[in-house]
Amino acid sequence: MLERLRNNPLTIIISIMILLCFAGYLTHRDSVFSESENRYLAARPKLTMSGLADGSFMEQFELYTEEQLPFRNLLIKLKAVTEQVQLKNENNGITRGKDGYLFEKLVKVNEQLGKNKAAMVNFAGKCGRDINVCIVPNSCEIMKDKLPAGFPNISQKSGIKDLYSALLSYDNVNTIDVSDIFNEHRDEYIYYRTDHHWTTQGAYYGYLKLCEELGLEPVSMDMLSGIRKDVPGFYGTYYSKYKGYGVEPDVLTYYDIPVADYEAGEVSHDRLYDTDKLRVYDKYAMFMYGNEGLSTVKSMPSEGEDKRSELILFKDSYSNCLIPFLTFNYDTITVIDLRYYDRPVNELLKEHEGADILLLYNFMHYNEDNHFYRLVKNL
Amino acid sequence: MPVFFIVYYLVPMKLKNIVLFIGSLIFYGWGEPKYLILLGVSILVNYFAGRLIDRAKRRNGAVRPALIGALVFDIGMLFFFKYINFFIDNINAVAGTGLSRVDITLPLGISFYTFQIMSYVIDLYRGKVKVENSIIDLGTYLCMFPQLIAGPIVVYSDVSEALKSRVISLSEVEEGLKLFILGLGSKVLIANSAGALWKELETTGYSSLSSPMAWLGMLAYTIQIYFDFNGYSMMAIGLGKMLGFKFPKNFDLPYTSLSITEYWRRWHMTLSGWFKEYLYIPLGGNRRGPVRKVFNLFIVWFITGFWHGADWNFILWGLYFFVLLMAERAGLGRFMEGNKVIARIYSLLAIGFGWMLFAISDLRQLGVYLSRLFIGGVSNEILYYIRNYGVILLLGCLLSSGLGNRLYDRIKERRLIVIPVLTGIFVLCIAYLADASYNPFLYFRF
Repeated sequence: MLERLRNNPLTIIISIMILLCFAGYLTHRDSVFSESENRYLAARPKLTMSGLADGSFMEQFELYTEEQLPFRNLLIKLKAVTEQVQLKNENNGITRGKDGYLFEKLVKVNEQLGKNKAAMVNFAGKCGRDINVCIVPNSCEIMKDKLPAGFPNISQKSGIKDLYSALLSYDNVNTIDVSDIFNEHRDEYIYYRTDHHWTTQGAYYGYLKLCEELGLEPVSMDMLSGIRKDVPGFYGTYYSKYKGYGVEPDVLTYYDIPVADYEAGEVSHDRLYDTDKLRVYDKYAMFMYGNEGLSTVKSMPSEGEDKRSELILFKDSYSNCLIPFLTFNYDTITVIDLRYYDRPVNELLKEHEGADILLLYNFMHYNEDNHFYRLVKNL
Repeated sequence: MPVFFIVYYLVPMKLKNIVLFIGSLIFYGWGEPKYLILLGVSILVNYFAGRLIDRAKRRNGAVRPALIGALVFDIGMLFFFKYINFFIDNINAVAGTGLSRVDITLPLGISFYTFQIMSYVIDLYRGKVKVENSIIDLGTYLCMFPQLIAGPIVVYSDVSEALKSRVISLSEVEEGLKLFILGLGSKVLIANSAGALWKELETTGYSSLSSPMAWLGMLAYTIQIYFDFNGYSMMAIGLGKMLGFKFPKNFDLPYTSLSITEYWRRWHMTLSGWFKEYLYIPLGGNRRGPVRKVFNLFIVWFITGFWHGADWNFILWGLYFFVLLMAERAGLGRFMEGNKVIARIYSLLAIGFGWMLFAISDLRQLGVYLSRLFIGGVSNEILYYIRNYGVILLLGCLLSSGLGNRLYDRIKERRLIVIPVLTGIFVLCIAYLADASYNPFLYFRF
């Protein structure tokens, strides 16, 4: 018997591996959330007759076995390294450029972009208020010198230009182009290496440009340096897909700007930062306690400065690290994330007569998010 | 799957077929429960047709009605589920009628299992095989899970003896497992990686391709389809071995061919074998004069193309090979024999162009792609793609040139090398499957 086993080692090895894998499924507790991938994993599906009949049970079961595979994180790392060994600088759609910068590759404009453009133009024509629109390019558009050779990518610049020229014919619209100020500061740390967001520094340059366009007096960096906090060891969303070696973690910076009150959805906070999040994988979620449909920031009353009363900000997660700066310029900032806000926007506008309006989105969000239609709902 | 194997190995020979049959049905039903019925009906119809043919033979009665009945059913089923919408579309386009499409999806593996079962009734009619009295055994033959989905096409006579009794030895299992892992590696590590490049070109659209990119894309697809298909076949043959069956070889280094004639002797051998045996020869083969022979070949290649998919580009693909084969017979072949280098370049180009016909079903897009091969100009994107796909494509080229086989033959006996290498491939495959952002690997489960 032993002799026969020794003659067929592969059968033995594979059998043992499969047995261990089985034992793994049976014994280990399912992980609900994958921190390193920053997403929820599939749970064991319930067996139902209808699920069996239409095949959905099988599909879910499969996803479950895949996502709860023992040693999954290790295996994913192994794949990433194998890709690197082949000299590849791309894994799961994320490409490593120079100096450990990660970029998201986009070879084709999403169909959604056309719809989003139409929604914005429609909103501009019908809202009856003065609005400011700003689309922020992503790192791959600005940091061209960090891209790997021949990196295939669509031009975000022309995508933004296209929207702005469609909005040109509306007198009530002011379009804001941040690409000049970004290009000027492209050598600074304005985008995270491992995450799809701009850094707080990048957001500050965006803020300077906004102030210029809106006629506001920006707060100076010198004033803020005393409350600056740096958090090292931040690996972001790009890295959770890329997983390879040769990428340094980012440093996340925030300025502990006090506010009078911050209502995020139903919950009231006395500051803008959820510092608990600094201990988990997705540290960027510390800004503004993540994304909420409707939230309201009441800024600290300050003496002598002339602040405006209110801003309505339609935004994605890019704005989360920019909003603190805006508290120096507005008494109240009403923040709308259309992904989680489905009340008619015109009602909101009526409730906030006289407020400045700003639509601030990053290009990738503009390219793929499918909630822009909510701008013109019931309008 | 491991549970299945344990049960299968434990039960006595008598029960092995029923375990295999049920296991296969579960495997099939897992992916597509609603078409289990179709598979079941197909087994029943052909089983009873087989009995009728047998009875008619013994009583010297009319054999043909049962045969024709079974064939009409088999082909009709294939026609309905695979081709009906193609014909509706074309009739609508030509006659301007407004027939509505039938809402069906292609049942998994129908092209394969229909051909397999047809081989049984035809061979029975010809007296080449004996009637199968056990519906379990016939069912087992037809839907044995290793080859149900993607071949090889195993004709009944290949396995009729093994169906009744087979010996499974541990060393066969070991050999089968080796083949299986090599096939899995072909599919997961090479075909899927190369396929990602092709997929990307598809999403970007062909109209802006530079010429080098278009050539690289053609190479990637050529590599993908071979490693994909051959990978499946190897897995099937390996699993077959583990179950005690010996399935026929399906690929014999097709990309080393020096002519298209040779290529079709090496590519998907069980399919070309089937067409020869059950279509070309019944049509009269080459025995009815040269004109009839050309006509027969035309039919065979037309249907070969059509078998691969219900679209004009597949028909075009089949006829493209018909034309090349005719040209080779007419003298091109003799010319090539004298010029090995030219012959090799010609064959590879012909195969590559063929795959473009195969891959792009919109004929206008096909035209765009082919034109970009020559007038696409140059852009530096090629650098990026070579960096990201160069190694895997080079590996694909080397392995498909037969280098891999030679290397493997040399180290085959050195267990200290082979076993770690194969285990490593297996682990890597699991890793790639675990992190599957692009994984067209739908119907294989552990």
